Amino acid sequence: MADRKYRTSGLTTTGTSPIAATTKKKSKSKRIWKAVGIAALGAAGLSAFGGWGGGTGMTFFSGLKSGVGKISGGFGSLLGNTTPNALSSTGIAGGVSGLSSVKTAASTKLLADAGSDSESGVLGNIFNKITDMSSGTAFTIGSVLEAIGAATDTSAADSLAFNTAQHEDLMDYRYAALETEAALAEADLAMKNRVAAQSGTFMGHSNPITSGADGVPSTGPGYTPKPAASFPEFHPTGGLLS
Amino acid sequence: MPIPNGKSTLPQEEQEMANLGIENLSEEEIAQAKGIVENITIYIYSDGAPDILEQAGNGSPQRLGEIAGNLVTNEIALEEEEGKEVSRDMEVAVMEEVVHELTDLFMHENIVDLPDEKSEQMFMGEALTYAIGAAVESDDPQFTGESIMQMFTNLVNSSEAQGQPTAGVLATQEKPYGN
Repeated sequence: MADRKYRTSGLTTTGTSPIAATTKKKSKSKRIWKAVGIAALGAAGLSAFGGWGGGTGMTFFSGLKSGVGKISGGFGSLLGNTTPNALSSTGIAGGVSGLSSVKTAASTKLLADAGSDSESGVLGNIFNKITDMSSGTAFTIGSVLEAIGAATDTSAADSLAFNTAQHEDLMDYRYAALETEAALAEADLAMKNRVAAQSGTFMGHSNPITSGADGVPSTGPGYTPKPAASFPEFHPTGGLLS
Repeated sequence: MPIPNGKSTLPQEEQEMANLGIENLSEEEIAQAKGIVENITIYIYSDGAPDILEQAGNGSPQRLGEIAGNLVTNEIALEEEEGKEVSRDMEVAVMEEVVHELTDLFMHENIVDLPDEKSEQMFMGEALTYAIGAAVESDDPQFTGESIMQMFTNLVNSSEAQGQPTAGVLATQEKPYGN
């Protein structure tokens, strides 16, 4: 793939772009500030780096957050193995040296005003910061990256989500402990009932009071005498008693 | 012969662009870019305006950006169908102009109210982001997420080479949970 460079025209003596086709009537701006253009390019580039584009199904916004997260999450992920669809290794190779400063800048935490989490809110925050920083001329790539990084900073939300998850895990553990305790108490009661039932038998017959309690297994029919044995040789017709 | 005073003769804007590694288009390319912008502008102010205004909805930067991105992508495709070669390196610059043009149209039609230059720049910045997005999601194989990231990486490289410091305080590296 050919090496891509952002190429544009300079300005005319009136401060407009040489490729402008009309003199703008309503707009107060003679052109889009270069810092704004670069921020747009950066946001789109980071979003692509995060996986957006090329039919991946990701939205621009999710790609942007993911892209910033990858940079601030670890430099190693930029260098190959875990880099997904958006960039091939050749695409990254050309920018390794520069990406160190991307990481540095995107890892910075500004005292950013907490903006909306919506897509428009995040982009609005980025360009709000850019236009505050730049009067149309003076800016650095670092400041552009800082604005993008700060606007997509999700550390507070991530922390809240982590705490919530931790709380839920704790509650799950406590519920499980309570259920185990209840099962043990039930088993203990059943055992005591069985002991009481067994100790209350007489010749194998259950004590009608204890054997009727919950959890007491049947103790069986109890002692049943066999029928009396019959001895024909001692029958009265030929026996000793006749 | 006058003695050079040691100061750069480049205007501040050009000096800054050079520092950032942004290259100026050649005269020929400027003419080509201007031609593309003019074609789109003619379309906007002739029979295209009703369609554009109908698609504008409430005049969000997203809608404007998507319209601008599609207009530029289609115009470049038309140019190439005619056998001309168009460098994608200037596509973003062309988009900037079209976004500005459409913003002016939206303001003229009272679809958006942008009272000062700052609000205009914010609006156009968002719209330009979506314009680039629309072009990336088009079928153009020469304008992809990868090429956009490459452009931006080149800017970062050039910035670093020029010794521009990246301001801010390093955040502590987050450690994965459980380690």
